[in-house]
Amino acid sequence: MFAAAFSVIMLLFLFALSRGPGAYRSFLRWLDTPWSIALCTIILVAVLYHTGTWFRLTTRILSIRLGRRTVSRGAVAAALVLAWIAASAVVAYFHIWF
Amino acid sequence: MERQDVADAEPRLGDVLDESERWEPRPPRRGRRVFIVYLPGLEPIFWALFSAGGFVAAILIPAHVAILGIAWAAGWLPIGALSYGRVHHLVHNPLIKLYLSALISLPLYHWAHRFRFAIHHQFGIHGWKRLVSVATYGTAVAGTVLAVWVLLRI
Repeated sequence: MFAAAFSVIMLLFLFALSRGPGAYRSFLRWLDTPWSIALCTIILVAVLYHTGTWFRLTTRILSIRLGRRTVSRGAVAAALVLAWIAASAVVAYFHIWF
Repeated sequence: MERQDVADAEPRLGDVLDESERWEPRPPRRGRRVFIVYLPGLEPIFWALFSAGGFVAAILIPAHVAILGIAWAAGWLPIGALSYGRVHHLVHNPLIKLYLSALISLPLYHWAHRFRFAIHHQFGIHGWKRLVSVATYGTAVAGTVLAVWVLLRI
């Protein structure tokens, strides 16, 4: 639900981008308002909660077999967290330094 | 209609499950010797999209929200990080367009599937199955079409 709210924000962002520099700049100004910051904080908290529940769920339903042994739930959880850190780093890289 | 009236009057678990099973693939009945191919319908596709959307929401969206929604407003980003020219150039790349369309549309399918389930099984509204499906999945499809349309214009 909150991830879908972010989809709407992203759609508006791209819509502003497609309409030219003026519309884009006014969208960035909207991102600066307390309303936007409050909304994004709520979305961030909710999405991080979703990350936690989703990863816990995944460790329960995913069983990876290597030969005769099954990868433990802890190892799956560690892999998910590492993947999350790596994905976040890539997103940050594209946003900031690319 | 008759079944809906019964469900509205006295929502019992059996009725709810019967209703939702109509949307799910059924195994052939025992004792039948004729092989029948049961078309599973769209349910598995929406399940897959739900799952993909849940993964995108879990792994990618926190960083996006933190950067675009909070770090930008707080002034933590370097000057020019979100400048029109830079972002426009970045989004012009076809791979980035593909990524953004998935980033926008998959969580919408996740929401649609989850919200449809919540309406029927958490809010206890058992009727209007078709209307609810059209409204939720329709919103997701509309969001996907909008995302692709906007990205093609950039």
